[in-house]
Amino acid sequence: MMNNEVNIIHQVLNGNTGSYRFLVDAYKDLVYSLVIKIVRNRELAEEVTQDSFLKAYHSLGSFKNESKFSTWLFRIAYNTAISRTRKKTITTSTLDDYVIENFTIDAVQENLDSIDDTEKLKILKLAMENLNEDEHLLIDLFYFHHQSIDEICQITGLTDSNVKVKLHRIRKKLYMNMDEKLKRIQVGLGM
Amino acid sequence: MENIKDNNVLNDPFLARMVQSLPLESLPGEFTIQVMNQIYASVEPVIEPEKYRRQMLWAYFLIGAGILSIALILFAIWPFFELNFKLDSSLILKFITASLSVLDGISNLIDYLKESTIQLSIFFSIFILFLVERLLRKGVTNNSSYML
Repeated sequence: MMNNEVNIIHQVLNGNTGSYRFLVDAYKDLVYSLVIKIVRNRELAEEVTQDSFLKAYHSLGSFKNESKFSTWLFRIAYNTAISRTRKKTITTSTLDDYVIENFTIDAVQENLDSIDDTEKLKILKLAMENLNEDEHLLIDLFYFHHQSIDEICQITGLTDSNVKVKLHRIRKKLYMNMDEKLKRIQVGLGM
Repeated sequence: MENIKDNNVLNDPFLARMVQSLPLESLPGEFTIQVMNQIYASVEPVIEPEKYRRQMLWAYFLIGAGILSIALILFAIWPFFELNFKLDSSLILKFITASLSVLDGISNLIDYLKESTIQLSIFFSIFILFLVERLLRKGVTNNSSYML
């Protein structure tokens, strides 16, 4: 955890409420981008993000430096978003084990490397849209928010092996989606 | 099958780089102000600092002193107790009379409470609710407390 964050938390707990603004500024977009994956509605996501920061503020006294502040905050945001959507657990779509295990990502990576960045991002965006909200969330936590497996377990309440299996399958599914989009583009261009 | 117990299988710099280049969803600029306004309007989450505890100790002492003064004034002007500091034999009698009056008052109060079960129920319900609220709050905030 960053020293600066520890200082800010100490300041807030010692009565300097205004310092909390720095934490809100630093994490508001990260929390919002996480919450929107769960609630899939901009207005509700903004409301949930606001609630999460208020909850975090009121529970700041119970924050121990045992985890990263971001992990602690994401857990609050995740629980708030889940309770708002009345969902109970993370669900991932089922894909045939055989298809998943026999799919190799190296060729897809090579193909993606051969196109320009704008196209690459477009394909990724389209492929991500085909993931459900929970799959999107796990990919986001691991590859975007740099949360470790252990930290994802703390945030979502899933077990270590469950997170690993889900991430493994989602990653493959994402590459399969990208491969499909890439092929469509190539066919469209007559390549 | 790849060994997914090994985190290296999940580590994918190529995918991480791509995901990180996606634009971050952003909130309007006034979001922070809105959150802070709500925080300022609500209760402080401050762990009682030493300075605050000392101030409150003085506050409790002053409140106690004030209550004691009022009690003494009331005691002095109480009609059945004409306070007289002259050491005569009637003083003991007056003390006994006053003590008996106080005891009689308490006894009357207890009788009244015994007869009025509704008031008793309300009183105990409020007391129990107060205790539960304090316990829950202590549990939630885990050693922290809210300032008055």
